[in-house]
Amino acid sequence: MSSDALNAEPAVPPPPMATDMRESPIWDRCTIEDIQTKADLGRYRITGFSLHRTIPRLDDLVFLPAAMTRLPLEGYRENCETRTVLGARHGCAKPLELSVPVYITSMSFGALSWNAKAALGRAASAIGTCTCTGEGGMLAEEREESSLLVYQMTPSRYMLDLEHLRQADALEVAMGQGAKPGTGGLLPGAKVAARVAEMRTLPANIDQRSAVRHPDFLGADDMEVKLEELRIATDNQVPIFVKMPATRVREDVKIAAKVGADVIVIDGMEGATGASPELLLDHTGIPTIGAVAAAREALEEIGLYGEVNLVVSGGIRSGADAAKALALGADAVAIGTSSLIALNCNAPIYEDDYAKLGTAPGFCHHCHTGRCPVGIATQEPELVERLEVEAAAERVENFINAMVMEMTLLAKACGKGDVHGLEPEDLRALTIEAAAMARVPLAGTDWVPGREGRF
Amino acid sequence: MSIDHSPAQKWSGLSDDAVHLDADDLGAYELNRKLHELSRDHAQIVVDNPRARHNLGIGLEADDAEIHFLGSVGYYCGGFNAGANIVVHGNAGWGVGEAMSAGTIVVHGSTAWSAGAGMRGGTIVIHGDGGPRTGIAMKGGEVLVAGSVGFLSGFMAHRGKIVVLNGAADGLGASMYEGVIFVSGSVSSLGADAIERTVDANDTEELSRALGSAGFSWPDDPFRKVEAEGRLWYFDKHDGRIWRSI
Repeated sequence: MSSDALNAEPAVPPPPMATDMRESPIWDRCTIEDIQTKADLGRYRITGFSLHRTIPRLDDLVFLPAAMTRLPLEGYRENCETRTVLGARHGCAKPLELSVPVYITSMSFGALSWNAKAALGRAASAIGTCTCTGEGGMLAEEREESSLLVYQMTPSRYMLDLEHLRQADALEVAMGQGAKPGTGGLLPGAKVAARVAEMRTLPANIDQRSAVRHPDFLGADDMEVKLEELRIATDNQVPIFVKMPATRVREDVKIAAKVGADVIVIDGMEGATGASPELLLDHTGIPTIGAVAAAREALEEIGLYGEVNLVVSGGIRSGADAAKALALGADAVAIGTSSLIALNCNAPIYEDDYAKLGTAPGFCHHCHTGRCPVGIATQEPELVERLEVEAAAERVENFINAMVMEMTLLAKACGKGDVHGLEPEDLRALTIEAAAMARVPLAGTDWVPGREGRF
Repeated sequence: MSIDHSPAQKWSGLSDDAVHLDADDLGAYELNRKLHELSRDHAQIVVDNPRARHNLGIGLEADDAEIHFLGSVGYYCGGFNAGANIVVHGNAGWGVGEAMSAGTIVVHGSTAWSAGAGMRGGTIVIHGDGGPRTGIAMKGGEVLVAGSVGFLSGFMAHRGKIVVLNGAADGLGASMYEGVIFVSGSVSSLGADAIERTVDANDTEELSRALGSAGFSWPDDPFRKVEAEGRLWYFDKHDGRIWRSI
């Protein structure tokens, strides 16, 4: 090719780029879509499921199994204890005795279908663990299927009276949830079907925004009296849980312990929901990894670690997550979304119905629409029927068993004969953020950010 | 309204056969257990020296005796009441009759915050004033108040009825569902989504029954009926001006 040819203007100039595809990191497509959606809606967005951003999480930790300094147990042969007792602090007659340190967290009837609640109850009973009513009152099917049922007392107090209180195997006073700290529950009208409405004493089909502040106590001093009242009403037969979102964990945990909680449930920001203003999922609360360590520290500082039990929830997806939570200080974990996924949430079936919602299996977060294609987060009978209780319960049972096997496998590799023997020393962090939040050293170092000296 | 301390009023309704229980001798758990125990053989139990202690008369049931507290009670008196008849000869602290489902609680005095919080049934009669948030989150039953009620009374009331003879403070009936408030006397302000509706003949008949059951006389000022308009029940962008600030 001659230099003339190189320098010459092409006979036909190439067309200008049809589109300049450089995307602004500030005004990216998601932001543009978000603004235009709100411009249409005239309100905040509402969604189901969990947050839409990357945060430090339990995945950023790894275990240090035994090698030279410690002796592992035989992973496939030797026993590892998983029995977990919750709520013995105040000497109630029946602390919760769970066969495993995993239970089904509070999710309401209303957010979930009756078949989903029944299946979760049946699975939990088969495992020997508990499930929790959530805020919509006590569903008869759930009570029947669940050998151990935690009855949640939320600020809205749906269906709360002596008759139902005395059917509970434990009480959980809800002070909020990780998905939407500081804000009450949300149940869009499509899910406030007749039975849900009656249990909540609501007009059917309204967009229900539940209360966030309890109607008859405000501060810690009131709450102490309230917990005593609950103990008297149940004749101190059952333990009392206090559930709170992970925000000012260190202070809040101390207050919950002071007012008399037997069990404190900390729900990290990964905690999911059937419906929430979207911004609360993404912009409120702290990640589970930081919440566990802070809660443990708080209880240690007031000398109640081990006496007040600690349960952690929010984004627990596997035995690895659960084992890490235990190592960081939890006595048990509570699972929500992962149990729903085991039921069939986001399974590749009824794909046409996902498409009608504008989504697909693997991406669905449309619990709030009440049109759950797999019959879990809906009140429409023809959809609910798609969830076959017996088969669904078996999947959840299998999943929890798998989780617990994963936990014991990790515990035995670390040389522990009891999953509760896992400790922070068994962990290292892969990122500086995780090291700082979990208070464990960065892998390959003995450095814990913010802490003086060796670990 | 001041409390009538004359003996006849203060100890009204007591039977000579009543068994007496001295609260000074018993802790909160023991006292409540004792109330159940004594109910087996006695129709009326009189609790002396309640001294405004908390958690008195919790989780009582229909087959329990009529319980009289001779003096003021603290928080949550009659909480989770499932059918007992309780009389307080004094004032009551926060949450009297909270979560009750049946029975009656009569307070010959005034009540502090959140009387009848979340109650599902039964009747609470307050001869003095009701404090703030009287009838908050109630799901059924009735709260009848001879005096006034404090701010945010009836807040988020799902169902049930509140009758007030002598006025209400700010935010009356805020954010209700199917709760109904009848109020005579001055109302400082109605709460979010509360609206005044016409008192009809059925309401008047119902009010006569309620006042009669409480032993209240018909007030001089006419009753006003407060209900929810329902504009907060649904998300609607046309109500953005309301939604953005509440």
